[in-house]
Parts: sequence; structure tokens; C-alpha cells
Amino acid sequence: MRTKFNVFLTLLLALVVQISFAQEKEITGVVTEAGSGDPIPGANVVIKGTNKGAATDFDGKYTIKANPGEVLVFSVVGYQPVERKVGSANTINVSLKQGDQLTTVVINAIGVEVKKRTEKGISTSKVKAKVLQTTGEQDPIAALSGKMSGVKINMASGDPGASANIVIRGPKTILGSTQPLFVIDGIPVRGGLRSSSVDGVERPSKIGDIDPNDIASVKILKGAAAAALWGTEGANGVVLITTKSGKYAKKGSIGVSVSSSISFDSALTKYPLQDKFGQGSAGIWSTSSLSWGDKISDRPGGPDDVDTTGDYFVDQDGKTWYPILTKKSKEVFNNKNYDAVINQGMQIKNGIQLTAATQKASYFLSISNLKDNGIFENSYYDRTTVNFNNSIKPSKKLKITTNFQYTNAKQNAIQKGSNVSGLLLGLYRTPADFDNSGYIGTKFKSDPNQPNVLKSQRSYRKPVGTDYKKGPGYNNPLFTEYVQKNPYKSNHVVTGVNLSYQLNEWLTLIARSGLDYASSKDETYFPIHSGNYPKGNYSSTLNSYYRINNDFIGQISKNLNDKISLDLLMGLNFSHYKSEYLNGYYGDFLLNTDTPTDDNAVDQQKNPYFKTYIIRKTAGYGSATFSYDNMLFTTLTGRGEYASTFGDFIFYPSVSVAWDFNKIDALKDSEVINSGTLRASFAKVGNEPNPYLLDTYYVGANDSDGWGAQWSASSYDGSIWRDIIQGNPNIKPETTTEIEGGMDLRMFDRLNLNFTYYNSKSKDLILYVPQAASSGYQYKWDNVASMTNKGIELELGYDIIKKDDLKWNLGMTYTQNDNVVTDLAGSDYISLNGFTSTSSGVAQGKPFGVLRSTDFERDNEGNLVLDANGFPKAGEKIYAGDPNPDFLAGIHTDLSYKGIKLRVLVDGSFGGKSWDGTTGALTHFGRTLETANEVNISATDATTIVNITGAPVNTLSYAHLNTDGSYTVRGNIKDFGAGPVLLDQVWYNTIGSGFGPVGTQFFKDATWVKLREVSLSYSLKADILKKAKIKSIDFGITGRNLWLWTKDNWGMDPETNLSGSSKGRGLQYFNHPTTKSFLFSTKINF
Amino acid sequence: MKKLRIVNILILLLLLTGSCKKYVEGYEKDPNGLLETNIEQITQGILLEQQFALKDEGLRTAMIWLNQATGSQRQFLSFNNWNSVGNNQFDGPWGQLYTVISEARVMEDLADKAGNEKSRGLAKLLRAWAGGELAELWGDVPFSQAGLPDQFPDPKYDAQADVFAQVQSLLDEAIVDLNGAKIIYGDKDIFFSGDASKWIKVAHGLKARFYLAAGDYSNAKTEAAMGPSSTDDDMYAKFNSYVAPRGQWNPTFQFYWERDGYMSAENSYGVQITMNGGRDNAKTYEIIRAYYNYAPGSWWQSGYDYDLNVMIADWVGTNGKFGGPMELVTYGEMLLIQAEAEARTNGVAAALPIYNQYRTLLDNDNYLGHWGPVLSSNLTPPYGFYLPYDLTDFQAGGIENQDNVSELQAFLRELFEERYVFFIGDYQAFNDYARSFNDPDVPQYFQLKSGFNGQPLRFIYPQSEIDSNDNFPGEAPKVTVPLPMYQ
Repeated sequence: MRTKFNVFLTLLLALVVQISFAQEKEITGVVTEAGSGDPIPGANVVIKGTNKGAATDFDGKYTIKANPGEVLVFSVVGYQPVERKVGSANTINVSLKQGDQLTTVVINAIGVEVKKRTEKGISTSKVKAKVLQTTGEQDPIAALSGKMSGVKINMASGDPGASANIVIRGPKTILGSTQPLFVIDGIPVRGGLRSSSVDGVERPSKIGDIDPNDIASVKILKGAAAAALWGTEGANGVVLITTKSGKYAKKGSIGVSVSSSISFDSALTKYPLQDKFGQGSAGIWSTSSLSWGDKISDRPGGPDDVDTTGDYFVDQDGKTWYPILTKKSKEVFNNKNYDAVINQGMQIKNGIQLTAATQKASYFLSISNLKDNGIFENSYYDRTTVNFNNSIKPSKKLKITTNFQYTNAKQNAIQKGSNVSGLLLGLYRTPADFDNSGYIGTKFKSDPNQPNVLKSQRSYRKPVGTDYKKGPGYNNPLFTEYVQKNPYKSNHVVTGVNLSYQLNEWLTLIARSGLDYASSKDETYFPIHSGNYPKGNYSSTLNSYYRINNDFIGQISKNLNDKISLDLLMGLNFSHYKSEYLNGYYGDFLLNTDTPTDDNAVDQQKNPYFKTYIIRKTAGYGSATFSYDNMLFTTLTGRGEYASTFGDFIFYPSVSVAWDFNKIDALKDSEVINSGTLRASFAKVGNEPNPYLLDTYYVGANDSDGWGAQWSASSYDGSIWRDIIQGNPNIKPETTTEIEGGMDLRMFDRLNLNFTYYNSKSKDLILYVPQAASSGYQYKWDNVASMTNKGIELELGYDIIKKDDLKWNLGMTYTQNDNVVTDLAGSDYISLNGFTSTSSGVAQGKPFGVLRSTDFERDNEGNLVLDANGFPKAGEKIYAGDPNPDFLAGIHTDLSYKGIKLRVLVDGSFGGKSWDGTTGALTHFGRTLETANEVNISATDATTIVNITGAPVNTLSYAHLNTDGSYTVRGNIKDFGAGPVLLDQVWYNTIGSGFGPVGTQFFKDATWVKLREVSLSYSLKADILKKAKIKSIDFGITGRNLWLWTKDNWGMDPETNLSGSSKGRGLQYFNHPTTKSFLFSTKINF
Repeated sequence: MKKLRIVNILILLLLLTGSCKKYVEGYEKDPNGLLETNIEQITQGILLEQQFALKDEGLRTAMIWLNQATGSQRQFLSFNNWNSVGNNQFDGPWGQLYTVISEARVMEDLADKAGNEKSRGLAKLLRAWAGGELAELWGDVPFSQAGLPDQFPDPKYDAQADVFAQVQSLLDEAIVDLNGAKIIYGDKDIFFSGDASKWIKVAHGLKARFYLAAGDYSNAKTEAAMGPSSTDDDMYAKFNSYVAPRGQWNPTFQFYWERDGYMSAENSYGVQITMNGGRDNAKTYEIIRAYYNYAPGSWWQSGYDYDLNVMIADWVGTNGKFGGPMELVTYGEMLLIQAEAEARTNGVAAALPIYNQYRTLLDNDNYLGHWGPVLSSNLTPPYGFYLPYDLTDFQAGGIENQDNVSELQAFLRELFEERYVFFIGDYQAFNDYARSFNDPDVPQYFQLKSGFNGQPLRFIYPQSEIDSNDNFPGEAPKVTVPLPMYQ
């Protein structure tokens, strides 16, 4: 029966073929990836033996006219080509297997296409475009959060345009940069993160200039061996970004897609503040800076009694504010004050992408604009990007590729952190019963001989406004947002041209040149009556830089015999970098104007600064891969460099070995193990010294002591003398040597596993080392310190369901890094950022960024030493916590059913400590919930329980005597070991305060887990759309940072860091909240 | 043909490699960085560092130890106990003086090359001065090899007496040079506008100061006579106050500005004997000088009974000593040196006229500050006086000898007490104690803060020197161990 049926089929087929021969017909189909079933855009479909061809569109679809009997060749880089004979069917769907990993082409560290077998021995993580794009993040680094192992990404804050910080496999330098090298389409690009401090504003990074929609893939080279070809720039790892290139569409037509998205943002966290007690001290209302006043519910209610005869204030809306004589109102303003400055933000993004390609050329043009009105009033980020990539093949041997990206970014940010002109500092300290709504206006002086004060600032400490050129104590947060200005503008171009000439079948020559150019203007304007500059201050920094990077590369790929093949790459590199700063500021304004002009200050208050950095570097590099029997792979690389930043020639070697153990006979046909590779590598990479450490310079004469006294010859008649820091002509790059080993495994055709262990040692870290002053210098630049990083990286993927139209998989990442500073050349401790009370720094034998703070006094057993009243005392400074997490983990799952896709990503940081300085400070002010507690104390206990001054409860003026003889008092009862004592205002204002000496009491576990992303997308392809010449419409909804869990009670996002992207870690002090958002997007493909 | 092309490429690659090093050469220098200076431009920096070194943090520590001032808050509370001050607190004062020495070496070299003898003389004077102060405070210190980093990265320690000897001969060289060719750049000379004759007097004055410190009274006397010979020759640190740019502010004023409340004069012996009349007698009334040195706490609002007077003219109509210029080398000091040397070599009768000459200077309002209307409203006439002493005043039962000590002892006690007040705000007060604490001719003339072990007899070696100088001579002596020459 079966045979007969087959015969019948064959006959039928033959008939159809016969008929088909008669005429060329249109064949359509979809090219997908074997396994995942994802469509492959840009695959070539060529009729064998002809030049006729087509290519797949965004959905992997193609259309081609062919005659039956002709053979279609489906091919695309990275996959094994497939041939199909045209038969009767009008639809030919093919699935391409990922190419034999050995001969397919990948982009290597320096951005050159190489055979994949050359990278078998190193570990990389790759993220595809669509994974970045559904996150709703507009910063490509932030979009990587939780998606790969071995990297730690932190958001500085939720300010619009604020950048994310990325550290790969732990820090490897103390004074240098921990930023990886970014390489975009083969062009090294400066990440451009501003190392921020405990105040000021958060600015966009230069890598944040890239629209994630323009990215085709991001590949992270984590290990030293992977980055070894970059030598002195490789120690922190390399982030390789490939932007989209032209896709083949129907001949003569252009692929167009228009996308639009809108996102609604709000603060992820809101710090809980008490609203039980009002402004004042010792239980009595006053215009104190504190909220230790009366109990609001005990007030009679109704309007406050005011003094209409004294000074008064008329605000921006014409409302008059008089000094309060008696506080009667029960009204509280916590929410009103908060909502006035932090509320809903909105992002709107529009873009258009055009793509076209022929056999000889391809083009990709993308223009997009993002407008982000942040959750802080008057803050915004506006980014316009243009991306044009083109590739032409004038002949079969020559290929010319050009890339061009332009970004214009504008931002206004809000002052943050430890800053009396900052947003949250003023907001959170504002007492619950103070209405911030009037913030600028005229202060009318009752004294007829005194002029009224225009543009006076009203704040809770100056309730009828500041006097002329006097400060408000702390800024009214509305003044911070609406009156102070922090504009930023930047233009950024990344462009390059790449000529590739295939001399013969085994030799290719490449010449390429890349340019990274940016210029920015960064302004800060504090008008008169600002918190930190009551007399006004304006500063502006112009920075422009460029880097030109030229490479001449030769590539050889040859089979030496049946078993051994050789891939050789040799190159020469010339790099020129120049950066120029021009900064000026002036203070003590003459006029209260926001027009920036230096006419507005006297000469003494003006200050210019300018600085130029030039770094030149040249290198020869090479890589040789020997492959044996497609099973054993050995890659050797070397890079030798001369650079203007260090004296001597330096050489960086690496070796990596990989073994595809599944290819041994015993496993060759295994159903369990589909593929398996064991790999190991060793490499040395470097971190570049800052420029100009080689020579001793002559500088403007000045000196200062550690207590604030200073002199400067420029305040007299000027003088130039020899610097007290001695240059060191022998300075060399900081070097990191790393060994790593790992395994890549695919099992049951469902399970992917990548595991890596690494151990790196960074030495010759540069510090300025104290010298015997009697020699003539006080410091000398030298390569002295060292540290180690050890870690584990794990990535797991499992396909739970993999049917044609239903797919579900689960993935997991795990990252662990242990850092120890092993040698600090005799220095006890070097602070990286923070405060005198609590700071993050480096100390010998401690992890990088260790937090140092003062503890309570303890005896040898670690017990508290108590005073006569049973209270603890301040003790010594200790290493109070490691801000580095024990491990990071992420879990994601993807579910797709026909055109519907769902993605969920949860990630978390486990272990580590952070200092909660916000709570520390707000404790002092009586704004935390803890400080608003009330305790009842029996009549007898009230005579024995004392506060820190030794005063029993029944003697405290602010303890309320109840009718039963017991007392109610604001505070908490605590037993430090000598019986219960009362923690009241006196405790919370002194040793129990964040302003007191003991910082350790505000350390918390920094563990957090975030629901980072939930995204749902649907691709609509209906016939009705075709009439409108629309191929498809993609809809997407993404929820970003929807939920945060913290182990300790924070009221803030512990992922943020006060000092932003600087190396100081684990500091919380009025940090701006991060945001959560709902993003709706549509994309129409024509 | 193909081979030829490959060979060409290889040759090209080789050529490129050869040019590699050239490609980076010349870019290792900071385009905004200076690699040289000249005599004119280095001069003022050294002068400013010298006055800073003599009037900054080390001085504040010395004043607290000598009970001329008090540590009142935070770290400064522990400064009251000289035993508890850490070695690292001396990195600053030590480094400042050695900065003078090393920059002066650079200046000497430049002046040498330019044939500018006068400027070379000035550089030598400044280096000798810094060396003398180091020997006064620390005793054995690097001097002969100091400030020559290329030759001596770890300079050896010279004995205190050797340092004083080197300082004297270096000052002799300086005097010769100051009489030599060329100029001191006047617009950079904040002290004497390039007048070498004034510098020569300072050189002699310094010789007198360091001979006195070394116990060579006859040379001290001779040199003091050649030092500043009128108040017109006086050298003042050119500090200014709030009205001037921050870089000119008096360092103690800046300290008060930055570290309000850390330091005061509460309960200090200095306040007791000036403000509270401890030194007043029929011929002496200290009140004006008391206000020059000290101010009621309410003036500065730090909440102590008395502060150092950091007041400035536009607040209270007068500059306190610590709010403006301060004495460095003066005619007054010369008279005090001569009086002491004369008394020790020829007896009190020979010394007294000189001391009275000095007191007349005070009586004529020299070294008392420039008191203005606000200050006078705090006082009632008479506004302070310093009448001449008679020999009998120092004899048994006299004004200055109620306890019947010897005439010389009584005189030296008064003289050292006078120096204790005159040198509030100067290292000489500290050296006076270090050199006289066990001198039987000098009875106790002031009271240290009580309750602490031993006496503060020296500055201790800085941590940076202990850590970084391979020639550091082993164990560092404690603060209570007398300096080698005063043991």
C-alpha cells in the first residue's frame, strides 16, 4: 500500500514539475533558525549558478521568482547554507542550523570578522537586539541588567538621562577607570561616564548616546584572554556593540519601519516619613530645623495665628505668608510637598528606520528622537540620533563599509545628594506641618529703612523668605527644581570606514579608520539665595574630545593539511586621542539674573581652568589559531605597544585552548550531549596610566594643610615652583593576569550551560606614594598596589516547550566575584568617596570599596561599653561593611505563541552592606517613623528609666503625664545591656543621629530583588494590512522595574549609589529614586 | 607578481613598525604642563610657604601644648595631651619646612646659572631659616642632603648641633651673596620689595636666633646687634583677612573658619597672664596686648570664654594677631636676644637697659596690634603700659622677685615670661621651653596644662619620614624626650 502510494506521489510530482517548468513562478517562504524557530532576517536567497537573488525581510520572509528545477541557496553569516530545489510548491520554508561553529564568522575583539573557531577558548556573553529593545531602557548598558553573567550594572538614579555603571569581573584598578572599553562597529569609543561625587547632578554617559533600537547585538568580552588584543585597554573587559546594517528587501524597494513608544514613569520607592509630630524641638512648635515639635493631633485646629505686623512674604502665586505666632492647624503636607516635586514622568520616542540592499550594496538609515520628562519636575532628557550604515562591494574582492552615528543630547538635571541645594535633602527634612508651595517671591521688610528682598527663597527654615544674599538653610525642593538650572548639551559622532580586500582565497587585507568625537557643555546655575551659594554661582564646562583609530590588518585562513588549519591575523594600530576642557565659574552675583555673563561678578570671583590631554598609542598585534581535526583549538595572541602615557614598550600575550569533547568517538552520536567544549586560557592585559605621570612639572605655588588652611601665590603676585609630586619616567601600565577555565554544554537538545571560573591578579596599580619630604618631594607616582578577583559565572538555558508555534524557555544567570586588595604599599586606607564619618575606599586585605565608619565603643569580646546611664559610647573607626554583593542572579523566561511573545526577567543582588545615611540624617531631624513612636511608661518605671543625659522620664518636659500617673513620651525604649533606657530627642540628636559619630548603626543589608521586566508583544500580519502596503504591525507593552524587594527596610532602592558611577560604593544619602515604568510601543513595518 | 605584492606589503609593514615609537614620541609631555620656572617666578612661592610653615598647623599644636591655646572639640581635644598626638600630625609641619628647603634649592640652582648673587643669597637665607627651625623643633634632622632628590632620595640625618653649624655658615654665605650682584625681584618680594639690605639684617637676626638656640650667647649678642635695628626693619608674615582673596588669609583664621569650635583659648595660661592680669604690676599693664592675642568667645560665637583673636578689621575695627599679619623677625626679638645674652654673659645690670629699651617699644604701642575704636570701647583707660624696670625690681623683694631668687633668675624668669607672651603665635616660645626647661637660671615661668605625663620638649618625627626614609635612624623619640642639645 505504502509503495503504491509513493509511486502515485512521484508521478504526481513529476507532473507538477513538468507543468511548472513551463513558467517562472513566485516562491515565498520563511527562513527560520533551527531550534529556536526565530525568523532570520537578511538571509540570502540566490538561484544557484546565477546572480538572481533575494533576501529575507525582518520576519525572515522572502519572495523570489524561479523556475521549477532551479536550486535555491539559502545562506547567511553564522548558519550552515541550505539548498532546495524548486518544485511544485509555491512556499519553501527552511530552517537554518547554526553554522558549524568552526567556520562560521563572528566579530572578534577588535571588531573584525573572524572564524568562530578562533574564539573557542574564551568566554563571551552575547545579547541580541530584540532582547535589548523590549526592556524599555533607553541606555544600552541599563538594558543589559540581569541578562548576562560576570557583569555588575548599577543605575545611578532615576534622573532622565542618568547613566548606568558597568563593571566586568570586578574592579582592577584603584585610581584608574573601571569602565570597560566600548567598541562600536570596530571603533573604540569612550564610555564617557562622569565620575560623580556626593552632590551635583547625574549626567548621561556617552555610551547612552546610542539608541538601543539601532543595535544589532552586544557582545561582552569578559575575560583577559578575550580582550587581550586590546592590550593596555583590555583590563576592564570589552563591550562590543554592532549596529544594524542594511537588510535585503524586495528588489527596488526599501524596507521602512516606523516606531513609536510612550512610557509612563513613576518613582519606584518612596521614603516613609512621619506626620505625627510637627516642626520644633522638645515637644514645642518652633521654626527649628527639626521635627521634634508638638503632636499635630493635639492642636486645636483652624488657621494658625500669624503676625501681620512684621516681615512677610508674597510668593510666586501672590499668596502672602506671615510669620506664625501660634501653630493651630492640623493640616499635614507630606504628600502635597512630595507630589509637587516628584510625580509622573513620561517618555515619548519616535523613530524611523529605512533599509535597502542589493547584491552590491546595502544601506541602513535610522533616525529617532527620545523625549524623557522625568519624574522630577523641570528635569528632562532629549536625545536625537541619526545612524547611517552602508556597505558597498565595487568588485568581488573589495568591500567598503562605512558607519556613521550622530547623537544630539540635551538634559536638565536636578541637584542631588549631600547638598543643601539638593532636592531630597530639603524635601525629606521639611516638617510634616510645613507647606512648601510658596518657594520664591518678595520678602517685605517691616523696617522702612530696609529694602524689600526680591526673588527671596522661602523654605521651612526661612518661612518668610531669605534676606538678601542669605541662604535658606536647606533649599525648598521647588526652588531646587524650578529656579536652579543644570543644563547639559552634547553632540557626539562615531564614524568609520572599513576597506576589506580579499587578495586571494586565503588572504584578506583590511584598512580601517574610526573617529569618536564629542563636544559637550555642562552648566550649573545657582541663583542668589540658593542653599549652598547664597550669593549666587555659575559654572560652565566645555569639553571636546576625539579619538582617531587606524588599523592595518592582514588575515590568513588556510588548511595546512587534512587535519590542521591555521587562522592568522596580524595588525598595526595607530591611535590618537585628544581631550580639551575649558571650565570657568564666577560667584557672588551683582544682579540676580540667570543670564550667564561674567559681567555679573567682580574679577576676584571669576575663575578659569583649562586642560588638554593627548594620548598617542601604537601597537602591533597578532593572533594565531591552530585547529586540529575540528576538535582541538589553540589560539595565541600578542600585542606590543608604545604609548605616550608610559615609558617602555610593553607586550601582552594570551593563550587559550578549547576541546570539543563531544567529538570523540564515544560521544559522537550521543543523544544526551549535543555539543560540549572544555576551555582554558591565560592572558595578560593592562590598564592605562593617566597621562603625564612621567615627568615632574612646575606648577602654580600653593599649599594647604589637612584642616582647611591654604595659601595660593595667585592670590598675591603669582609664583611657579616645582610640584611636590614627583613624576616617574618608569611608570608602566597596571597589569592584570588572569587564568580562566570553563565549559560550554548543550544537552538533550534543550539544555544550554556555560560555566566559567576565573582568577585574576592585578598588580603594579598606580598610587601616589608618600615620600620622605626631606628628599624634596612629598609624593611620587608609582606602580605599587595589587589586588585579586576570583569568580564564577554561570548561564543556563532550558527549552521547556519547543513546538513550531509554542515555545517556552527558561534562563538563568549567576555571577560571583570576590575581590581582595592584597597590597596597598603601606597606606592604611585610601578613601574613594563618601564622608569623613562614613566612606568607601580601599584597605589592604579588604575588598574594593570597603566601607569605613565609626562604631560604638566595644570591649575585647565585642560587647558595648556603656556609660553610667546605660547608653553606649562612640568608639573607633572600623571597616564596617563590604558593599560588594556575595552574588548576583537573574532568571528570565520567554514564552511565544504564534505572534505573541511574553518575557519576564527577575534579577537580584544578594549580600553586601550599604550605609543608609538618609535614615541617619532624618533620625536627627525626627522625620523617620521610628522617631515618631510614642511609648507608655508606668508611674514607677518613669522614675527609673532615664534618657542619655540621665534624666528620668518623669522629669522630661516633653513627657506627657497621663491621668493614671503613667507617662507617654515620644521615643523608644531600648536595652543596651544595662536595663531599659529611653531613646528620645536627646539620643536621636546626638549619638543616635546620623550626624553623630557612630555611623555603623545605619548599616543595612543591601540585598534586593527586582522584577526588572515584563514584556508582552504581538506581531499583527493581516491581509487587510497588505492592501495598505503594510507588512506587519508590532505591538508591545513592557513593565519595567515593576517591583522591588529588599531584605532590610530601606524605603529607597539600594541599587542606587550616592556617588553615581564613581568607585565609592554602598552609600545612600538622599539618593534620587529609580523609576518604574509602563511602556507601550508600536512599530509599523512597510 | 603575486609574491612581489606580498613582499611589498611586508616591507610596508616593517616601515610602519619602525615608525611606531616615533608616532608616540613627544606626546608624553603635558601640553598645559610647565617643565621649568625661573628665579623671578619661584621667589614668591617660597616666601609664602615659609610664612605658612611658621604660622600654620605645627604652630597651633605648639600653642596648645604651651597652654597659650586650648583644644576644645573633636580631634583637638586630644591635642591638649602632648603624649597622644600621633606622628602623622607632624607630616604637615615637617613637609612645609622641607618644601621651603627643596624649592630654595631649585632657586639657588637657577640663580647660580643666571649669575644672580642676590637672589641666590635670598634662597640660601630661606633654606637656612627652614633648617634652623627644623633643628629647633625636631633636633637631629636631614639638612646637608635635604632637598636634593636626584642625589639623595633618602637624606641622612645630621646632628642638631651640626645643623645649627651648617645653618650659620649658610647664612654667612647668604650675607655675602646678598651683598653681591644683580637683584631680588622686588615685585615678588612681599616682605622688603627687593631691598637686600633689609634681608641682610634678617640674616643676622636669624643668626642671632639660632646662636641663642644653640647656647652661643656671645655670638647671639653680636649678630642681634646687626639684625633689624628699628621697627622699620621688622618682618611680618603677609597674611590678610576676609576682605582679601582666600589664598591670603591668616592660616589660623582659616582654621577657625573651617573648624569652628575645634580650638579656643579657654582656660589657657596665656589668657590668665594677659587678659586676666597675671603679668600686670605697677610697671606693666597687659590689656592691649591681651586683646591683640585673644578675644572674648562671644566675638567669634564659638561659645568659649576666650578664643585666639582671629577678628578682622571690618568686623571689630582691628585685626587680631591671628586674623592678619604676624611677626616673623623683629627688632623687638633682637632686643630680647641681646638682653638675654647680656644677662647670661655680663649680668643683669648690663642687660637691663636693653630690656627697658624693648619695653619702651611696647609702651609706644609696638607689637600690640593696631587697636581701633571698637576695641577701645571694651577697655577703660589707661590703655596698657610698660614702664622701665629698675635693677631693684629683680632683687630680692622686688616687683619681679617676690620669692627671693637670684637677680639673674628673677630677670631671666621675667624675660622668658615676656618672650612667652611676645611669641604667642611663634615657634620661638616652644624653643624657649625646650632649651630652658632644665636650666637652673630660668625658674618656671609658665604653667603647662595639668594631668598629662612629662613635658612637651620636642616635635615628634612625622609618619611619612619614618615610613619612607631609609636613613631614618631607628626608633623615634617621644615628645617628652629632650632634644639632643638640651639634654
